[in-house]
Amino acid sequence: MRGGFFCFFKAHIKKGIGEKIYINCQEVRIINSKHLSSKRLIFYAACLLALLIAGASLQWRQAAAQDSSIYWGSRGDDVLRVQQKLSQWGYYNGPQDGVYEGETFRAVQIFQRNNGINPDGAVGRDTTAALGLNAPEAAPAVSRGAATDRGEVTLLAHVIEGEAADEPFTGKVAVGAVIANRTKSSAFPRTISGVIYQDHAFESISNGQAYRPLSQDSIRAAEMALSGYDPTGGSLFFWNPTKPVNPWVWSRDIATQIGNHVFAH
Amino acid sequence: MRKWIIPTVLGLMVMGAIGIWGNTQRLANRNTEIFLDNKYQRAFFDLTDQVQSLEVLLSKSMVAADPRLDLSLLMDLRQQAAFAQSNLGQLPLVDSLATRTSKFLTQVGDYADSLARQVSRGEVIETNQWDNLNNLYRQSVDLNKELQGMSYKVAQNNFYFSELVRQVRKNLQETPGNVARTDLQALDRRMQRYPTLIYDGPFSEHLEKTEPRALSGQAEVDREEAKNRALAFVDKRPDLEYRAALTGDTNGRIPAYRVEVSAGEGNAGNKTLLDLTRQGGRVIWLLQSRLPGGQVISIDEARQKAVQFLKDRGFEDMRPTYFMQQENTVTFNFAATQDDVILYPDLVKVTVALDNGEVVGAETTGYLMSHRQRDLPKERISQEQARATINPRLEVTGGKLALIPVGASDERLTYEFQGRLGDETFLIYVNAQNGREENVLKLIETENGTLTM
Repeated sequence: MRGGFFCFFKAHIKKGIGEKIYINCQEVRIINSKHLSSKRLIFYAACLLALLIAGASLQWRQAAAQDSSIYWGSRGDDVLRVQQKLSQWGYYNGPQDGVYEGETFRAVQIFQRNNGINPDGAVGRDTTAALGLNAPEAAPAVSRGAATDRGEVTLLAHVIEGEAADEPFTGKVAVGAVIANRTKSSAFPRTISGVIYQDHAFESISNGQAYRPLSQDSIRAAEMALSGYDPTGGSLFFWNPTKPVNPWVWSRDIATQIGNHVFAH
Repeated sequence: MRKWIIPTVLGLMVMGAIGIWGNTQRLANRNTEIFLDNKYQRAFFDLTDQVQSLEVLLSKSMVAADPRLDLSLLMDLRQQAAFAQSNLGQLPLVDSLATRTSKFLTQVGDYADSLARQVSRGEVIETNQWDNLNNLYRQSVDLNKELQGMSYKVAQNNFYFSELVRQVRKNLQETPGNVARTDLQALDRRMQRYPTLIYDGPFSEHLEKTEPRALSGQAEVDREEAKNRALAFVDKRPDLEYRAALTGDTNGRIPAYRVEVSAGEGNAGNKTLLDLTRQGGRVIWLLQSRLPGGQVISIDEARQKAVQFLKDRGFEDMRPTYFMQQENTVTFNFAATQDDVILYPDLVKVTVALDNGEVVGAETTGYLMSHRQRDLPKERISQEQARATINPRLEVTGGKLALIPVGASDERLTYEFQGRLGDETFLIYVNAQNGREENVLKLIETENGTLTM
């Protein structure tokens, strides 16, 4: 299609009737100028139409990706989410291992029967909706009831995911602990949200990296950090020494290094 | 020539479309920037207002004679300081710039709070406390003056703060030796000159330098000994072989060795990290990186496991207090006891995996910082007398002796009662010496455990 465009514009240079011009990719035969303009019009229209169709199909593809179904043999976080929902609602007692097999299949069928959905044992759009799993990312992978600090855990887990997704588990707890320590320090706001949304405090919050889907590890690390685990010995700062940082932070007392992060107070 | 027309027109249309799109983007961008700047402006001017009222309130509290007036001034002071703190947190300043100012605001609020408690007990403000107030007052005068000076500039230029952000970002990328010298940074420098403030609140400066009491007088252990102790501490499965390696030193609140314990041959998933204190060789924390599978054992079995784990590791007389269930793990809180008095400052946490009952986490900072053989005071009032002071609307049970932390460094011997009002449960702590109610906690039962608030 792009080739066609180029051909067209260059073909303009030569006006002889009946000439054949080969440019890039496509042959353009020039017959007669009157005829041509209408032909070109059609060509343009075709191009535009094609663009529109391409755009629309892209959107449609995205929409389709969201309600892709999962079935026997599927693996991954989506399966885990279904298993968690089903076990919360008492349909499923098997292991929550993210593998869609026998027990999960049967649990899904029973669930579908109870909810008036065709019991095909595959989690398609209707079943997903009935399970309440449609809300995109609103409820992260593991929500187990409504403890009062659930929002705080999720918020903290997001920063951990944004700042330390590739760190070892202890490194994740450590990042959470730094935030928890800040709420207890006089130099910082007193709440988890105050610390996290302090302007330019965390890069992943500023650039949106933190709002990726959460991993189980991050959530567990956030829970550990909030319940008081602190592998950093009371640190208030952390940074990756290989990245450019404010030189000021190096003046702090370094407590320890975990994974790729240096922790200091 | 007519064949030129269509492409030209189409070309112009495309350019026009791009132009319109670009302009919309520009406008949207500008709107966002203005919106953001307005928020910054509001935060800044609110902060200025609040610091002004801090100054006024501090000076008033120094001259007020009636304790009732003093009390209300101190409460106002606390509130204004909290507002100012929250507004300061919204301004686009990197950590280094506003640290000292933030500390000042926290301490004003905290100090006012601790004085208000004192006044409400009927005690007078003493001379050295008056000096502290005076010290805070002078700081507030300085801060106020600076902010007023800045506020003219900020009011003149609506983009003051976004320019500041740009400057800070640029400096971050270039990494030169000097950080942008902004007005606020200069202000922060000025605040550094003031002496530290020592009083009986959580943000008092002497508290940031406390020593771990459980370790006092103990000898330093060497690296080999640290490894042995780490091996002895971790929860071991009989079918696996455990190895310990020293991976570094940590220089946190308590200086420590870091030890990594791995289990089995090449079993990368089951690594456990621990920090052991240099002095005394005690475990500060332990974390296993394994993600536990689905729940197999009950909370009760896990609790027994945790109790046994602590007993085997020399933590005598620990009592489980409350627990929190996380995804497939459960964390128990234990408090130490002495002569059947429960010691709430001396806390240990143990996390048990619910798939195989393995201890995957432990945390002892509270215990290490404050545990010791205490000279507990003798109770002066009886349990019945204490019970009589409780709000009669509550249905009261319990009444065990408990030592609770008060403020940041103080401890009181109290009777611990459970009170029910309708469906709600409260914990009430009555001072065992003078019968005053020291604290009320509300118990919140959740699916995941019991929370106190």
